[in-house]
Amino acid sequence: MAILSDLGTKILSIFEAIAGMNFLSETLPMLVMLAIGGVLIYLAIAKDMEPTLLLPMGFGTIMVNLPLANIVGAISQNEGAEGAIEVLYKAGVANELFPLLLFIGIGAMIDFGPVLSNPKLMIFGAAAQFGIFFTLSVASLIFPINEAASIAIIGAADGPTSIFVAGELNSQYIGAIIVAAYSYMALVPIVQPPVIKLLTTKKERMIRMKYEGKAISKRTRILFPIIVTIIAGIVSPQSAVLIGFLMFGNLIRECGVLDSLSETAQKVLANLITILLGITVARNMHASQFLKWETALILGLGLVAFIFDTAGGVLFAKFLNIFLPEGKKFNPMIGAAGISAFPMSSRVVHKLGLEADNQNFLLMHATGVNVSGQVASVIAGGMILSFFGN
Amino acid sequence: MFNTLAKTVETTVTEVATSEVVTEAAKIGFSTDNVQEALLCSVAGMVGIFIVVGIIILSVSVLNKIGAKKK
Repeated sequence: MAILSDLGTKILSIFEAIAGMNFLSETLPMLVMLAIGGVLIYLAIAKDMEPTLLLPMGFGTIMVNLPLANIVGAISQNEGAEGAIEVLYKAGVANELFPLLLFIGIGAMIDFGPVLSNPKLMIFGAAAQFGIFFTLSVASLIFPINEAASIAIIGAADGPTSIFVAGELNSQYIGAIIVAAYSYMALVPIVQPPVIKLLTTKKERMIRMKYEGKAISKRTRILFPIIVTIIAGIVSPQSAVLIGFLMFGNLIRECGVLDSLSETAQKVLANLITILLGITVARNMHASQFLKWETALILGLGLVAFIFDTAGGVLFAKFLNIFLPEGKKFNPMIGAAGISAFPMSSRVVHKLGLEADNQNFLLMHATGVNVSGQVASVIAGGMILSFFGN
Repeated sequence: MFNTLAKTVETTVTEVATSEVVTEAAKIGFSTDNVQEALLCSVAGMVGIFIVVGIIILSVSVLNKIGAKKK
């Protein structure tokens, strides 16, 4: 009987606590965040938008916004106590461990063959980072410079790089930055085509490019990740850790003697980290941190970054075409694949090529540019850290 | 090479950061005070990426040529 009475008192106190919440400042934001969590889950399941990250993040958003639960701890009602998500956050996101481990998995997944057989394509990967720096300049009009840099890195179109850089720069908007980065990556098939069509004529989109699939020696495949790490580490030391983990994963893949490790990195490690990363990042999706007008601005600036990345790649290809003879010209659309979002961007370019000319197969060229974009975006992250990191 | 570039930018950033003008700009709101350093970083960043990628392209080309000669 006493137990039932205790239980009744506790339930009553919970209802009193909920009833005592201010509707405008506490209840409404909480409800909005629960709805946002629901929308993220819906987009992940129904629209297949980056489900591996948006689903855990959506669920985490619901968890951290439960009014009386101590999921996060530091920003919940039990001050001083650390919730499970806070523990995970400190263990893997605050020290940037999770994004780096994820890079090993990503490196193990990437086949650099198309770019190794035509290394010139890498130049488009560099050009397509323009959106990052354009957005940096625009965001600096509104945000402090380190926040502007954190927001600009959305243009890297690479989740782990965005998390790593925003974390290193102690951005208070890391939640919004990650939502923007992953959302726009999923929206690449919607964002890129209008920009590409706006900047190219049908004649340009019809340009065919010969693909000579050269055999790449095993030695080249093995030396590539080592050389890239050394070059990036010397020229841009801040990118060494990012590029190093990415290339370590790739070396495991290409060395030929660690197949089981390569498989583990591609599947088990990447999946495990993705599960933890998604739900942990939701720590920054608390209503008090997320429901600010700055979040809408960040989402807008993220779109600007993706648009200008695309434009940078396309316009650079058009610029190079001025100097190239007929028959050697690039299809300018492949420049757009320099955005790191892999493999969506290369598929978009391939599809647009076929739309303009049903015999225009650009997939291999676009894939080469796309994987170059992966490397270039990591280097861009290193550049941003060189300028604004501690 | 890039380190020198980064140091130049860093110096500018420090100079601007220590000025009174930018103390105000640290708050969120429209301000043109940070634009100069942002533009400088943008130019340096793009140049830096092209340099790194250029060196990688050269290295891969050399690797491919060595591989082709051996065949």
